[in-house]
Amino acid sequence: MLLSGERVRSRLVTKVEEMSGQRVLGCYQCGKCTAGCPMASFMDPVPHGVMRLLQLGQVSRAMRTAAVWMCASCHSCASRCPRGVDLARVMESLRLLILRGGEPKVRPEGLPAELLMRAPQQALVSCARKYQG
Amino acid sequence: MKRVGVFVCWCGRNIAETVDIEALCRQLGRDAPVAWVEDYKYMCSEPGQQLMKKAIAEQHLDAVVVAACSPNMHEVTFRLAAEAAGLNPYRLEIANIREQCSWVHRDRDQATAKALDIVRSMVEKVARDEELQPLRVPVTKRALVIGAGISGMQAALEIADAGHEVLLVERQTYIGGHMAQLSETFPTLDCASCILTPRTAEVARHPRIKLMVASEVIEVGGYVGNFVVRIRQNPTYVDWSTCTGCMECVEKCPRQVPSRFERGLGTRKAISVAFPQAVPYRPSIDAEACLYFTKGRCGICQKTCPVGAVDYEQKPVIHEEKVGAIVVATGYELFPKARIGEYGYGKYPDVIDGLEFERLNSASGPTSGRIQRPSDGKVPKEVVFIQCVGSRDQEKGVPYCSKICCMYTAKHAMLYKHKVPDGQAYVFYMDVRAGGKGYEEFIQRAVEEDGVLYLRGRVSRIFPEGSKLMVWGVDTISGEKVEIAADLVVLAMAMVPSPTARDLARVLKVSIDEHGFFSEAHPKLRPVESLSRGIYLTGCAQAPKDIPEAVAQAGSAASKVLALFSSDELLHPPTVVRVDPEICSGCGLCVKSCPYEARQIDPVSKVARVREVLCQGCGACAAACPNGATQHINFTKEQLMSMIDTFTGPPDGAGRER
Amino acid sequence: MKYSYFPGCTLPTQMKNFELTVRWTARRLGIELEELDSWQCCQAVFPLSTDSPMGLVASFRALINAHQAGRALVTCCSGCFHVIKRTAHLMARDQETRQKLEAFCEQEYPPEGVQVLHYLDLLLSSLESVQPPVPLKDLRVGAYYGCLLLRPEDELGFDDPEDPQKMERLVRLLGAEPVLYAYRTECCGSYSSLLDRAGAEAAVRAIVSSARRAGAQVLVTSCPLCFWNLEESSLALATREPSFAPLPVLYFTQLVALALAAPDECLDWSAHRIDPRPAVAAFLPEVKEA
Repeated sequence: MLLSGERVRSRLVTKVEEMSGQRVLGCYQCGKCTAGCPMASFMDPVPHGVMRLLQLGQVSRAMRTAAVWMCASCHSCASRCPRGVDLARVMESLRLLILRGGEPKVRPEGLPAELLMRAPQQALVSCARKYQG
Repeated sequence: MKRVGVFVCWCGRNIAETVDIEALCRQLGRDAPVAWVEDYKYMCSEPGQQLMKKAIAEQHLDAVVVAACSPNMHEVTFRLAAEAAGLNPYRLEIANIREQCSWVHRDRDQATAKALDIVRSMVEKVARDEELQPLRVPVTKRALVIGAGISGMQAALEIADAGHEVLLVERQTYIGGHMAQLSETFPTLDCASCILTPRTAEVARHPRIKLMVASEVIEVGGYVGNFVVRIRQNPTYVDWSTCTGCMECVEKCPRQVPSRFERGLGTRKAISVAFPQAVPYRPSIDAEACLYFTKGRCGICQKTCPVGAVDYEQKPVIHEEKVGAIVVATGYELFPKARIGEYGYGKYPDVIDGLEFERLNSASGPTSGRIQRPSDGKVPKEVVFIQCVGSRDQEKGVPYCSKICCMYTAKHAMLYKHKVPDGQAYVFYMDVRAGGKGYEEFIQRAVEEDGVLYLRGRVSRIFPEGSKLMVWGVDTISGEKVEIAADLVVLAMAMVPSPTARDLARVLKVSIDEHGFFSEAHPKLRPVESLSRGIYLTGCAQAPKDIPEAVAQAGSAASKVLALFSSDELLHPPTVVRVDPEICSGCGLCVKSCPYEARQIDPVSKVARVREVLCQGCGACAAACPNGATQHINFTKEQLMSMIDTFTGPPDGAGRER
Repeated sequence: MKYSYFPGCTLPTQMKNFELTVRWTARRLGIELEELDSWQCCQAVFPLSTDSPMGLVASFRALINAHQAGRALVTCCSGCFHVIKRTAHLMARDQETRQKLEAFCEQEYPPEGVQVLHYLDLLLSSLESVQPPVPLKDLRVGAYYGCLLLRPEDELGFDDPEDPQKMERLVRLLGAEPVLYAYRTECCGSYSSLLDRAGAEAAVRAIVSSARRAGAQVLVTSCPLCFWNLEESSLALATREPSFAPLPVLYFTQLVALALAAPDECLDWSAHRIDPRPAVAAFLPEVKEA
């Protein structure tokens, strides 16, 4: 990874900070978010690793992580973060950066028909809000 | 007309780069009261001072302005030099053209003009300064030390050994503080009792230490050298002067309660000594637990006592004592586990804090030093130690680092491994802060020789699962979430100030920081002094620290006290306020505005007066006085107005812009 | 006392077992729920970015409608409660967003705010003074809170996220036995289950096993998404892993309805894919043979 001042202070980091209302450098990498994340085993890098990528200015790499989509906004991380960083909001801003770029993660037609029939509205609306923007 | 000398310092390039010294001196030389102007590269240096002394003598100067850095830096230096040259030191003023001018400006012309104004205003002031002599007050050469932990005891011993009487006041019924609860100490692993008990014994038998346990300081009046202190001695319900310490009462007492000294892991009797090595070795009754006090029956201890020392009617006694100096050594407490929800709110018996582990590990503790977990007495085979619990946690705890936890956690893990060699110890840490002699080596020993597994990361949650405690943590180095089925979890809880510190600070009228630690006068240069003269700080009352630091600071605080006691009189700055009784209407506004209780209305003459040694020269009353009866000596209204006029008066050739 | 009732999108359609028992228990306990005029779906998730106020419009309108009716707003679904309560919290603190929404909706938000309540709170206070006719004796109930009800605590203020007690209190009031288990506050996988089954299945496996180990016979929830994830993933797991034993899931209102002897017609079991009836057989109304 090539680091430079320009990269570390990338405009996209500022964008993530503005959208999430969180300070990327507020995180001191204790990993408590990862320790309590119910989805951490489906993420690589894990939550604090995504924060680290942002601290290093690697926003586009952070946007390519599974964590962005696996995060269920359950707020286990945020409610225990000793630095008061709301990681769920950071994840949301990364999702939105992708979705607003015009590439939905899930299209309704991409879901199995029987799932669409069975799943409650709450699930479908949540899915649409989180994965289609 | 006074003959004022002005001495302009370049401060190397600090001033000279921004202020045109030559122009400044030229302008000043034309001013009427200025009889002599000189500049020098470093006025505070020996040659600089010589130059000033020489000019004072040769030019018959009767007032001096030194245009240099802040008076905080060198006012004393220059005043002493002036005094040596025969000038009254209060006839020397500092014009601060560094912090207030050259450091904060770029434009050379404007900075020079401003420097000129600053110096001129001080010339106006100094021309009206009176010759003053410091006030002299006698010193009571007797010290009060509040708190008899290791730091307080050390301070008391050092002062007493130097020949002064010390009043050592302790809230608990025993001395030794938290150190008495420790098993071994890092990084040497020497037994805490073995190094503490010689100290407690020395304190107890020292002819010049008057020990008052079960006592609290409730009121402090007076001032440096002359404090009047009121101390409440709480009842122990045993007359210790007749008690022989036979402990028959303890044996017969039918009531068992959790022991606070054992942090609830062991029990004590309602009448008992806190622990077997307690000094003084005398029992006291816990009225909240005692059947006689709670239910009005029993009385066995009184009947048992062969010398009739048990006295249920004992009341608090208030003692009034005079002391010249006070050392605050109120120590620390641990942040309560009950505040950490994700670790079980202190409800899981096998999640314990560091002091509880100390008691488990102590040969005199509830398990006689065997490592057994509280819930079922089993020897734990998987033990998780968690650092920074409550510390470095601005959300649920305190933002600061508690400083000693890295070391004592390594010690705990190591001692555990020595006692349970087939067990596994894990340490969750964020950083290992081992800055101290032999400290880093100690950590490495824990890792390499004792096989303690250090995991970098915090723990998110602890919950019981069967007889185990599930610990959800992370190892940020591998990026893996980790799960440990632990038998025992030890939390290195944050250190917080003693719960009594806040009230005591109010009583002492000294400041505490946002967390409740006593504030030192200067974080680097005056670390053991409070902002109130004659009140000194030591140990964890000031900030978290380990035993060597607490002891070193105690020595430092003691040496401050001894310096204070080294003369029979104290000098008090004479720049206090003064009242013109002819003008004073006795309105009392000055009394209200004074934060130091230095102002009073004379009951007979009904006009205000000044208790000069209490006056700190803050000027609040002078500002509040509606008719100018109160004047601040050498800061009189006339002086201040003349200074202001200098700044607001018409510009001159120096080109001041309006 | 009258309340403005916000049913949400799921209750009146796919989760009639929830809705019917809400309505019946309210009638039975004298809680007057008046359905809000022209409510819209709350959008199911609270927008977590600072620049998407449109996601707040539906809950903003619901709050204003409740205020205009002069009542507190009541929801039963954890999702609706989460979104609407957080919106109300935001409106009290973020003037800029509030003004944006006011301008967009051409409606003014009441400066004193709007009270948002969860139906569970109303049940708890009503049941204090009611002796349930069919106490759910010996039924061991694992309350499943999940996330939406509890976090973020400072915004929702519903219960302690690390050690919640309200559902357990309810269970006790009904004569049943609450079972405390570690995973009652862990996430079920939420909407991620539509993207990737594996995450939700792992979450549900852990939740159900944890409740089973603690001795639970049924799980109780207030969230249709949790309900669905628990059932869907449990069934999938059970087909693949013979050792995995699913637990039936009930809405908290169904449990109350059983204890209050609700008639059979308001107990709709058709939405359940894991039949809870064997677990609660002792408390079911007697069905007349047709």
